[in-house]
Amino acid sequence: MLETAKPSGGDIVKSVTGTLDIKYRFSYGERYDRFFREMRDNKRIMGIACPKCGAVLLPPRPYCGFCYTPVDEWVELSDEGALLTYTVVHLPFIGQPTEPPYIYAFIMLDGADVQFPHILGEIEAADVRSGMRVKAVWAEERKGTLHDIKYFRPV
Amino acid sequence: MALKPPELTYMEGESRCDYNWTTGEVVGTFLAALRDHGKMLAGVCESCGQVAVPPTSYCESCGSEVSDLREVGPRGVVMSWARVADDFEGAPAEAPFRYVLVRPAGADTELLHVAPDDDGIRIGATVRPEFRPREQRGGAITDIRWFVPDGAESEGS
Repeated sequence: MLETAKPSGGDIVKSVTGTLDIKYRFSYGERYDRFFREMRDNKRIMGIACPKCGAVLLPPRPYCGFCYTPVDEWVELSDEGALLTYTVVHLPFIGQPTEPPYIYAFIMLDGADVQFPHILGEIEAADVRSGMRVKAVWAEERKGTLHDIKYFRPV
Repeated sequence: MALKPPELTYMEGESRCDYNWTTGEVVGTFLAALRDHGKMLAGVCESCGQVAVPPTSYCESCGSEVSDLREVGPRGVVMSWARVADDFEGAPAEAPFRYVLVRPAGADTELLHVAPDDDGIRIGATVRPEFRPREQRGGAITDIRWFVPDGAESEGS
């Protein structure tokens, strides 16, 4: 503890506030590169299949996340699938796909073994049910990001 | 499908963290003295006698608790400096400027701050702090705008 008298005046400064703002550019690399090109140019969702355990991985990657085998077999997936689970996001935070409130969803696309995270549209939160069929709505202007799909709508 | 030749694909993102750093009693008192009195306080170690600015709760030299604060400066000596030629995000001043390590009179350590890009800023030069007007101070190290060569006309005051 400080034993000496503090200078007269205002209270001591209890805290200092600030912001760290970090802008970054993430290079896709070989697998994500093709994945996002196919979305942008052909409105296709590409997965990659494991030659050992047979899992179809999404997004495509160099190694199987289940058995760690190198993977290289590209497969086209449907842009339709089943809703695995979802949550309604009400709070704002940096990097959100859209303004809250919105429905964040995990979708198991037909042919895939890994869920695909996206948002739902054309449906009220109260009407959403796990297991329901959903389909991608593609953006008119596509730039090679996850936003090339606007959202998934009920089938 | 054949890929088109090199076009780097990437995504752009942003990560932002708002923070609220709790100063503690020693640094809090140091910052209040900048704001309210335009004075620099240093911590005096009762064990080894080191006078450190900015002050810390524990002596960085011997680890003992710091129990006394004492005014140092305002003048100080440039111990080292570096010129910054280009602007960057979060920079403490507009480029070109100089980072300086200033040892205020009466202190045994250096304070990191900024200075104008002036040839009077060199190792061994005497500098003095230029405080912002009282109403612009907020209890932060930036309440000192920068250190200027002693004898230089202060800008805008």
